[in-house]
Amino acid sequence: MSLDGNLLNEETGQSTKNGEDSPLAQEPSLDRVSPSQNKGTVPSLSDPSRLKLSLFTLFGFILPATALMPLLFVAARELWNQPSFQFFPISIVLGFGFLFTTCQWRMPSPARARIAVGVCLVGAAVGLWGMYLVSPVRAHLALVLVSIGWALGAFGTTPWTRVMAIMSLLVITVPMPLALSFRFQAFLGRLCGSATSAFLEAVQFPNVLDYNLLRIEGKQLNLIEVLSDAGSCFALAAFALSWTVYQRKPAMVSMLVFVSSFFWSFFFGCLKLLVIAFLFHSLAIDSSSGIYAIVLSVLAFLMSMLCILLTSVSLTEALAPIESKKSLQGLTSVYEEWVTWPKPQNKNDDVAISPIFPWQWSLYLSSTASLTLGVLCFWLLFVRPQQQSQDSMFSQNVVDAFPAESALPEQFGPLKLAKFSSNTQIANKNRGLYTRLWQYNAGETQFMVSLDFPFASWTSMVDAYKITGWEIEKFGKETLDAPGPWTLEQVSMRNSFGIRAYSWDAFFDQAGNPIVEELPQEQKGRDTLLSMLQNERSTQMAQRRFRVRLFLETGREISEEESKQYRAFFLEIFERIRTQSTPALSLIK
Amino acid sequence: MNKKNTKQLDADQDLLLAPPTFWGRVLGWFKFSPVEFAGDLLDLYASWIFSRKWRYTFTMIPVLLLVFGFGTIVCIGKLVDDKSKVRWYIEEADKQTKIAAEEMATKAKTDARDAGSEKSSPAGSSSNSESEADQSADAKSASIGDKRTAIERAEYVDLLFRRVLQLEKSNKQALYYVALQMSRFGKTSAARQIMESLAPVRFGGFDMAHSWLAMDMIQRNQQGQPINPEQLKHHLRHCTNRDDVNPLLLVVYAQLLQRDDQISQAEQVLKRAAKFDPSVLLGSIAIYNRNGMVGQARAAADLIYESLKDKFAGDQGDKNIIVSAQGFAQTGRIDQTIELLKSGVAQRPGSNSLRRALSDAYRLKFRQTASAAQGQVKVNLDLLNFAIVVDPTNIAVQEELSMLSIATSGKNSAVLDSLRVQIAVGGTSFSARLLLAEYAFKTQDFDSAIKQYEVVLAELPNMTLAINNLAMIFTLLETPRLPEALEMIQKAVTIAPDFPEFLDSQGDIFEAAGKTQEAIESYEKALVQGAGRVQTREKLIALLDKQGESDKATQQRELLLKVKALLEEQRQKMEAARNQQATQPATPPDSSSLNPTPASPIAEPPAEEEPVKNDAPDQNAPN
Repeated sequence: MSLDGNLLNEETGQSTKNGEDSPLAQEPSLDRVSPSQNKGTVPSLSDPSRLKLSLFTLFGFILPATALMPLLFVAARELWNQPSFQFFPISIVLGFGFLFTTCQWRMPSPARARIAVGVCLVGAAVGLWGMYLVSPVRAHLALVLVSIGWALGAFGTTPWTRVMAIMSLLVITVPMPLALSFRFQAFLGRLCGSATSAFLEAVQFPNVLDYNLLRIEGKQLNLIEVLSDAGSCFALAAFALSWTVYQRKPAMVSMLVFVSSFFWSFFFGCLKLLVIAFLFHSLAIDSSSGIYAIVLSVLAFLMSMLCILLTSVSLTEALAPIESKKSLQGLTSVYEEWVTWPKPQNKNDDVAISPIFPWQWSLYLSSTASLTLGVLCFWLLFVRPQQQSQDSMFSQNVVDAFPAESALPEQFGPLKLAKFSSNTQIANKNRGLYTRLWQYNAGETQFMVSLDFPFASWTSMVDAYKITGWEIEKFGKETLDAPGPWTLEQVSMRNSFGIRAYSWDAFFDQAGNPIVEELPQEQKGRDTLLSMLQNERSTQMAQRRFRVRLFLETGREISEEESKQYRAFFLEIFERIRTQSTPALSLIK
Repeated sequence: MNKKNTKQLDADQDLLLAPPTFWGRVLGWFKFSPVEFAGDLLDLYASWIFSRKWRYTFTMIPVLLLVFGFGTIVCIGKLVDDKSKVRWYIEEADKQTKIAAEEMATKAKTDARDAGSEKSSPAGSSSNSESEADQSADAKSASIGDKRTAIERAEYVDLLFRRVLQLEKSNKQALYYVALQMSRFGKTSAARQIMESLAPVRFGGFDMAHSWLAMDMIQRNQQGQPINPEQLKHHLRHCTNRDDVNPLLLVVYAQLLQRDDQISQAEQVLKRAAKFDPSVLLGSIAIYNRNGMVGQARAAADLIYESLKDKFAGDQGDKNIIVSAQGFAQTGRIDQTIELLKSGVAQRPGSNSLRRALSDAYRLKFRQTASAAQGQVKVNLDLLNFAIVVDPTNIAVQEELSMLSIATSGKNSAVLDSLRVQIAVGGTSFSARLLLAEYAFKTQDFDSAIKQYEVVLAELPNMTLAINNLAMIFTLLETPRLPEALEMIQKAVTIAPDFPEFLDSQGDIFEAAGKTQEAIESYEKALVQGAGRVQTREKLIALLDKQGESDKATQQRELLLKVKALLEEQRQKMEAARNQQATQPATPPDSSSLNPTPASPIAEPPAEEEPVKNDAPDQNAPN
């Protein structure tokens, strides 16, 4: 038995499409199709039905999706910048591919038609909301909802379970709200770290696990970075879903295979960490970056995929129905029902179809409104001259033009410049691709001044500090007035040794202006369409942010006076770095 | 039967015959007895087992074995108790710390060997045995298979202790080490925070933390920061019981105890310090001398000798001989001092430090044996001669010559005759000739002076005193012999490049030769070596003004004012100290001049007491 109700050949395991061989040669009636009358053949689609489906497809799916294209383009670019979500094109293509190759384009039942239209309307509403807030994440969610609604309606005779299973391939491409995706990855990373640390300790390999950092001799591994590459847990989950949908596995098996993908991701993540540790210790090969890291990631992903396939085969056999005389009674029947859910569509059941899609006028309205806003979005994002889309990576001459050692003076009152460094590293939510670091010493205290870039949006440092083992004692955001409103974040923290640290940070944008705090993209768009129309200030999606930060570690609590002094010091260096970045900012196309 | 009843009956029949719903069946479980339920479960299990095609699940076995193996090791890692882990980590850390200590000791030996082997050749068997010991230390280090550098090892130990802290937050050794690493990376404030938590001020804590805090306070004091001596004493009290305590801490502690009149305790502490470094007992000798404890002072000096006598032939032989000699000298046994140093010089003829020490010892004895009674001055010029012969570069001999010259002023002819007799007899010719040169210079008989110096230099070409004086005389001639003067003073500067007196003379000669810029540079170099040289600075200011470098001249004027103020302050302090000493009983002579390294003029007696130099004619000297 398979998800779409088709019969499984017991010997070969192959499914036959429902009624493929049944001689349903007659035209179905407008209201009802009776497979028993037609001996199993699918009735051909009448012209009115085809027209209705086409109109539904046009107004319920194509037009809203087209309207969302500008934002979807930005969403796609932002998703592509997150290695753990780079599987999304494949998942979407597979989703629509399965729909068109395994489902039949038929009018749905009346109840289903209402649900389909309802979901389309909800999706359109989300899309309109997303376009108003210029939010790529909402646009992505809207596309998924609209696709689900359309699939439920346009492939009306395909069981909803099959449709939802296929649509799950689209759902998994949407990052979870409130940074849950990131938090889940961090949690998985910590789990991997914990298991790896215990393994290393069991074989007497010294290591320290500090939240999301695993320290071995001579090396520090950021677990989120190491495990959040293109072969992430979400990519494996998408693969598991694709496989179970392709194989038309029962729901129970599909769910278990889906869950197992996270286990395999965890397991091979641990193995990856172990290999990195032992290679570094024994052969001094750093396989956490460079070509070795790529090879290791690919191997881990392939092994995980293989294990998922093996799990699928084993679970399919383990949870196959018993099909004996006892299957009709007692616990055995309950077991049978569980493992074969959803129940296959009975050939003798009458399938009623809806003559029309209800609330069609609402679909016309929503698609018209979506198109209107969509055109506006397109014009504002891509056509207006100062809002050309940007490259996410800077060219080397742009990077080199940013402030270097001489940008800040050697002496700042009691502070004396001790060291300068310029780094390039893997970017993440809390850290830019490039960092300039000035280290000042004043007596026994070190002051670290850094310029990090680029960021997609204003980002609080609190999470980053927590990840590296700091306990936040106090943090606050101050809005300053000149020039224009901008946010200064202050954090006081403490670590397990009782050492205190203090941090001040602020952002400026591509125009060199300091900016106010922005909520993450998934919570709020950077601006609204209205304000973009009214305001000449450039606020396009592709703008980058630049962070200046002052960080100091000290053995004692600093006084109010000292806090004010350091704050003033930060304001001065922020101003210097901001103004000295102007030549580099002007080079960004 | 009517239609309605028939329909009802049909409906009832359908209901009865229809199979139970899913939830109906689930609810039906609760109607089963436990036995029936168990039976049903067994039926399900049996049906399930026998209806599987198990070959499909066998493909998972290798992977499951891998997972199982990984899981087992992870469980082992998790189940090992924290105390065992802590013990293992600390053992590993101790092992690494020992290796680091051995490497440092080996490196220190190598450095000392490189530094000490400039001219003296090591004695035969003892150095061979030492080099064998070094090789065995290296081999031991290598046999561990450890290729870590010092920094890598320190980071590794830091990692180990951080893990210990995760497992046992209160582990003091781990906290201490982590704090130590922080301080090495410049996070001193953070390190101090941790150390203070380990070593509280009110009661004793972790002794190594006390030691660190004590060193930290001493360093801050040296940098001019105020510290609390009682707090320092508290830390020292709680760290000086360790076997491996830094001898410097013991010395400081002894000084603090002595300050608080706890002499016997200070003595005990210094005795402990002597086990690590016998030279610290010199400090205790000073304490005993100040307090009139002559017997204890002699005992301490003997202890120094006993502790070091077996090490006279080693790498640190020069230092050990000198320290022992200082002990004897501080307790008034100058003859033993000279004998010891003579034997040292005989063993190590190339050792400049031993020669200087012996030369100073002869000077000291010369002073001690000089007497003035009934209008006559009796000196043993042989001693001065020996001082000159042993170390011709010892410029301090000039002090003796100047003192003699002053002491015998007014009796010139008698003295001169006496000196000539001594020269004719063949003894003490160097000191006699130098004195004759002094007298000739005073009487402006430059030719005679030149002759005497030239004779001395013919035998002792490296006698910097004679070179310097001769160079200055050349500039004072009616027809100055400036090229020769320059050549001579260059030679003196080459032999003793850091001696400010010669640099000053060089500056004078350059100025006389009209080479103003070179003169300025020489004066500046002299001031680097002796910042308290007032006359040199005045000459420099004059030249800078002449060159038109008013900014520099102004800067030097400001410095001059500061220097004069400082010198005045020091002079007043010394005056007060002298007055205080005059009321105390006499103590054995201070043999600090045995210190082979010259003292800084700022820290020591004021530079206005510059050694008398023949750079300008003494206009008050009688002809």
